[in-house]
Amino acid sequence: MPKVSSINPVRPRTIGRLTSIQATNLDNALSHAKNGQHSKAAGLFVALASEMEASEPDVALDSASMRADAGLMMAQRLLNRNRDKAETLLVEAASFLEKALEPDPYWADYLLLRGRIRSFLHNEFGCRISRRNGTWKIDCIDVSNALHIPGISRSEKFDLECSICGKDPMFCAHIPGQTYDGRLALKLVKNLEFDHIAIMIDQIPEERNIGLVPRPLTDDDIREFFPEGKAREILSKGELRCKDLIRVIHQEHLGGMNFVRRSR
Amino acid sequence: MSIKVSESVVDLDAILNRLGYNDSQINEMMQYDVFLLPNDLESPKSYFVDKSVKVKNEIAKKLRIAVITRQGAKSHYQAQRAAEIVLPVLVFLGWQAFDIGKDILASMIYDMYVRYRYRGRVPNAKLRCVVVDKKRQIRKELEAEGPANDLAKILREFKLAS
Repeated sequence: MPKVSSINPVRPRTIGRLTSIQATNLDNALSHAKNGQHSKAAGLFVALASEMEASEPDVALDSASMRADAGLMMAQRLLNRNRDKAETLLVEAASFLEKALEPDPYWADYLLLRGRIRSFLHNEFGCRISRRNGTWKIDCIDVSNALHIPGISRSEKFDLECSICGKDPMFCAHIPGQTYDGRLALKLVKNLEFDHIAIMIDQIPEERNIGLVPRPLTDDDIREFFPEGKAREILSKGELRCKDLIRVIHQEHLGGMNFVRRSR
Repeated sequence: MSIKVSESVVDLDAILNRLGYNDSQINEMMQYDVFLLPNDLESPKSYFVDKSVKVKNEIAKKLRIAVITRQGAKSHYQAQRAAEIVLPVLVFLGWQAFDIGKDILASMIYDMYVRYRYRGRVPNAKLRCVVVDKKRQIRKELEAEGPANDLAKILREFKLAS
């Protein structure tokens, strides 16, 4: 699991179009970030983002990456003091990266940083499970895995396209996973046709980040599975985290789509 | 674990010719060490297994590999998305190429075994390799299937006598 302090800020994709003063400010921001001076780094990233926003359209759009860096820096500073605020800042940072990826969806630094932030958010805080229309719908695959719900496989036919050159990756020189001039080579699936979906009772699913989800929980389930105080807190807030649910699944030996108690 | 080795005579030129390769292309192809084939080469719409790109790139680090398709036809892919390791059909031109290639395949299968093993279950692996002795036009075919960790070990130690 990555520590938030090990997640580093990115350089903007349009770095070549920064003025020399902006480039110096960027270097200073990165240097402060490296030395753990998060507030100073965040301040410089915000200032740089403001200047980029006033530039030509492509650079202005790319300013979102510097907003993401600023958010990351502030989150690193606040994580041990104000976890709620740190989480909000990281969610915003991921959204800023989403925006920065609009002109070039395969810009490697942005994709990797977004992936690290999302992974950290899920591992550190867990995803939110909220009460809607009286039930608690769960769509976190970690909960399904904790419940030992079988995985699924998909039989499918598709074409592949290289994210760098647009050719079939079988006939191009780009290696998926490697970076070319800042862009990540990926095999893009095109013309996907599903044949069937199978539930893997005995076999192993290849992809463990997709699968079947359990039935939604009710308020009564919350009262039954969680200790009284925690249940009251969850019910009054109308929200729980997947991490809390997974803990209770292990403690109470729950399993399957219907949260059945297994014999110990 | 099942391992089957069979021997036959093959005319590689005729096969390539049937797929639309002309003589100069065939001569060029014979400079390669390995051919990677789709599942159903002779079919008008053929499919590669989804691991083919990875296999091609790994083998290309040590051997010259060419992808064989029906000339003019677009290639497609298919996957089951189950952790059964199905490798594409590979034709090695010569015994030396096979010796190098089988070690690459063994490492790949072992890496996938480490990645896919799950709650005590071991993924299955399947492979089909053909070795063609270019001079004598003898073809030896190896078909193997079994638990991925065992197959990787056996493949590493495997000797396909010429």
